[in-house]
Amino acid sequence: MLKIDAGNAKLRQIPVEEIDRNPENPRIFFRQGELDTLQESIRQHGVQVPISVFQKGRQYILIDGERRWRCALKLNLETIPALVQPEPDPLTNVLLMFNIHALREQWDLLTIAMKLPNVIALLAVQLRKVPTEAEISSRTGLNRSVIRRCKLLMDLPTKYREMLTAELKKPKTQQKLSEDFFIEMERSLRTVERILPGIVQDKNGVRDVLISKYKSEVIKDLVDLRYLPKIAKAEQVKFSLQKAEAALRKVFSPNSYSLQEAFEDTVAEAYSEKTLVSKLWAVIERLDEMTPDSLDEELSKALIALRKQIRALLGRSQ
Amino acid sequence: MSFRSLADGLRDTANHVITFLRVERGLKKVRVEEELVKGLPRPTLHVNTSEGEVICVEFSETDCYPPSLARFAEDFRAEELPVKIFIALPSTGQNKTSIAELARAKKQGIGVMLVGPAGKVTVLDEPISQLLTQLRRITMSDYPAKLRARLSQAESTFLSGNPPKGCSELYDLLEEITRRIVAAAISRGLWNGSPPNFDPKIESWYNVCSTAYTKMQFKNIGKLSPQIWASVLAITRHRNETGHSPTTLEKRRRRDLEMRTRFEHAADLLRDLIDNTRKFRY
Repeated sequence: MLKIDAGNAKLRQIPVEEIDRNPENPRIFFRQGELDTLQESIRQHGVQVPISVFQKGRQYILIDGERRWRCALKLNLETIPALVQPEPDPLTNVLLMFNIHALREQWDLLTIAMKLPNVIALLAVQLRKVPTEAEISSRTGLNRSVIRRCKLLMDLPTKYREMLTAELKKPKTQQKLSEDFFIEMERSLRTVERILPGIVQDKNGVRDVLISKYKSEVIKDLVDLRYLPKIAKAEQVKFSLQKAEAALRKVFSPNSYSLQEAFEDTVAEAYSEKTLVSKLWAVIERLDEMTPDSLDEELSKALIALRKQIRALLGRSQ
Repeated sequence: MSFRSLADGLRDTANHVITFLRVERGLKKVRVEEELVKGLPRPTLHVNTSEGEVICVEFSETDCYPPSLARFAEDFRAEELPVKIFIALPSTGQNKTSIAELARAKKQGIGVMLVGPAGKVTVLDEPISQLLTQLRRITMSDYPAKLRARLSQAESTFLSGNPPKGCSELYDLLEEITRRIVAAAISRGLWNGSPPNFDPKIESWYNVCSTAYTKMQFKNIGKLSPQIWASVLAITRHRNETGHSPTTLEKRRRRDLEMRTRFEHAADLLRDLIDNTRKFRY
């Protein structure tokens, strides 16, 4: 439970200049467009919802309302309405940030990922054990799939985290790489490594090639990365493993060979056949439940056409 | 430099602009997010020039005339402050800036800078002092075609930040026309008493106008009235005023406000003078 009682908070007008941002606020990227919109609203209607702060010495530290505070600074307001709360302990402070912001705003996942190790460390001290995913979820308000995605980003080498940070600083319209790209890439590469150990020998080299291909639109859509595990699972669809490995090696090399091409050159047909077989079994199961009386005209026509096709394919004898 | 309210993604761009102002424009004391006028929004960057002007720079990710900038400029115009505003955008080749937006920014006197990733700043448009942008523009169709190029030049000089020279260019036109009217009146004998013993083309403008005010037969010079002539006479005292460049924001504000009134008044007077002497060939 968070050890803070907002009921004890006092509403006051406090000088904008005496407020500092909270270093634990995981939201590190604020975009000018968002700030401009809020600024316009505050200009017209004032700060309608008080910010939350706690007092530390002569300054106030933000708990909630960094964007409102930044806009108040820009608009040169002298004071801003604020709920002044008692100073929280470090764990409560960081958990407050998560609970207040993550549930309400569209945070960049990386901003959460970068703060999560701190939360885990503080929770470990309090719980005297490494917190489980469920415990992290219940204390931060983040759902478990978000935590898992964050962990993938946290495990990225520094070089790629910095690359992503630089990208996220750009306006949304100008971002080429996204957190989703890295998450898809990491998931796919992990599966490939698990199924075909040894195929990814220089992982950073492979990452660089995939990033470069994505930037130059050789990889057109980030979901194309999902072809990688499918190719790696060639044996499951009875496709030549040797050919699949060759295609993966080619796709991991700096050239214009795309993931879609690699998929189509290898397992695409096998997967298509597999899908058809599973659909046929679903049809057979459904037909098994029917009686001749339950067939309407449309279904009867379709079954006759199907029978004709089956006979043409297999011959009358089978 | 310590930014607090500027979006994080624009801070590198802002630092490049600071370097540009220092190195290329010689403006050393660039202030970051500091108050310029109590009660008005804080410019992201501002710097005082030695001519008593203030140059402000605002930043945008994609648009060169976002609504927030329009409001920002309005605030400074409302206070009649001689503030020049630039908008700076990162030049990524993907921003949405269109010709229409550039035109809107230009119309409001906003200068536009593009900042490349390596910090190269390209100035697309220089800003106009927000105080001067409120100048009532000259309606060129009210004037004879042969004067329009010079009127346009005077207006452009005024708006580009040199109001005294802009006024002076307008006074040149007034002076030329009034001297020609007086010369024509003398040669046609439209003069009370003996003709003056000076050449109206080279005598001081004040002398020409003040003598004509008492001796010229106004009733024979189209619809020209002594009242209009008195207004011309009043302007002659400003004719050769060069003055010292104002050094503070307040002095600059007062000087530019006065210049704005003088420019508008001189343009109106020129039109009245031409309209009322249309049938009097000079």
